[in-house]
Amino acid sequence: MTPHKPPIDNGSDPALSKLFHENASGEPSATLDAAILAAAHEALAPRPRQRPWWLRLQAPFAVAATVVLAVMLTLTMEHNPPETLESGAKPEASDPSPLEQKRSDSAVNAEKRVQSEAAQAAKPAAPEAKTKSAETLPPPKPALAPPPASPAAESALADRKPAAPPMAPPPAAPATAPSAFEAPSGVASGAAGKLSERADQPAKAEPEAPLQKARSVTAMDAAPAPASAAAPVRSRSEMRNEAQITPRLSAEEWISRIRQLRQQGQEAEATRQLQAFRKAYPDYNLPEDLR
Amino acid sequence: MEQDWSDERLMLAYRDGDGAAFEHLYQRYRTKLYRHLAHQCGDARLAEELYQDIWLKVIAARSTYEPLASFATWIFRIAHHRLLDHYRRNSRDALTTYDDEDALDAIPAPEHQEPSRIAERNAIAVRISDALAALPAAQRETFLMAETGGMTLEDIAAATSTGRETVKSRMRYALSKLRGSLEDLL
Repeated sequence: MTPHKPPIDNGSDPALSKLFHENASGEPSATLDAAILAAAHEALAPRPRQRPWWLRLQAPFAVAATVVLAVMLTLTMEHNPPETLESGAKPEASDPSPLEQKRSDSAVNAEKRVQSEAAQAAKPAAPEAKTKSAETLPPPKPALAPPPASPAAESALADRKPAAPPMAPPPAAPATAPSAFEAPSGVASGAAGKLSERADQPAKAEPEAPLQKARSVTAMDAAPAPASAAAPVRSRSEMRNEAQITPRLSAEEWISRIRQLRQQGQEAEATRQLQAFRKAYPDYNLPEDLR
Repeated sequence: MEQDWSDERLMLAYRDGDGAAFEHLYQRYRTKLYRHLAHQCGDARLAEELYQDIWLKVIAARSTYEPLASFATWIFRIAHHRLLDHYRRNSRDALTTYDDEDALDAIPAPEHQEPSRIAERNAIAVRISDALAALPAAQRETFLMAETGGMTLEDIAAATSTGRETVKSRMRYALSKLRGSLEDLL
């Protein structure tokens, strides 16, 4: 009898399966069971969700951005300070007289006109200047106030700050009329006459006292100061003080004064006076010994 | 109630946060998987190590589990890959490719257990273990998946990423050799 062959074509053998299962042994330990079950329950525990990195760093980023912004603003303010009204408003607020401010603003314009006219009149008027050098200074005229300006210009001028110093080398007082030209200017007498004609028109109403005072100060500023060659740089106050002491000189007297300084050996003072003279009378033909 | 659920339903319940469902599932497969591994590697300590690794992988894959195949196929697939990793690290003949169908056949049978342990075991069980140990790894695995996992040839083919005919052939060879070793006990 042939041994019974189990059906193994279908992938199974019942006899072997029975033998295998009856003698199978082996199970995992209790410790192993507990460890696996604990891991299974731990996997179900909710985990703290980690926020994205850009959310975690949100607060530090905000602080850093604020600091950077503050620093940038500070640096910008330091480099480009805002224009305040104080610096510009104070002079305007403290300016007692708008008329004086107009005069100071238009003084520059008037001086320029006078210079050009003086240049034209300088040559033909040269011989006249010699004859008139001994004459006293013409009385201060309120007419030498600056020529009339247009209404628009006047308003613009009113907004300006105090004028630059006049053409005279020592800087004049702020509210000044054209000064140096008037002073001992026999050369500019023709131009002064024209100025007076112009100034007569609108400026009659202006108060004379402040003008006269300002003119006297500035005219004396134009005159040569007492010789003092020791100090090459002199303050405005020093020069003003000297001008108040020395009387007004004509051009010829000024030149003679310069010659005297040279003769006395005060070359530095003579040179300084000469420079001042040239600034006051740029078109004046200097003698050869002084050129 | 959960005890009547299918393996796949229990695993889905565990995926959704039911820890008790996992416990039921674990009770169903703890013995099968352990014995499968014990017969595969022939060492109880190694079997426990592999056993723990496989269940931890099941737990880690909880969130992505989808019942595309039976749970038995899925867990034994994990076991199959874990065994392959073990063979690659410990086998004298290094595997050249993972998809080599003959790779498992080329792996030699595990060494015999220590003599100190033989006395502790039933004689028949020892003979069965010895007969299984003498099989090539692929045939042994096929036989054990069928016997311990209760898997069909199709399930074994899916778990081992092989064809059904290959599995059928391995099974035939395994049964033939076992029968020859244990014929007197049948």
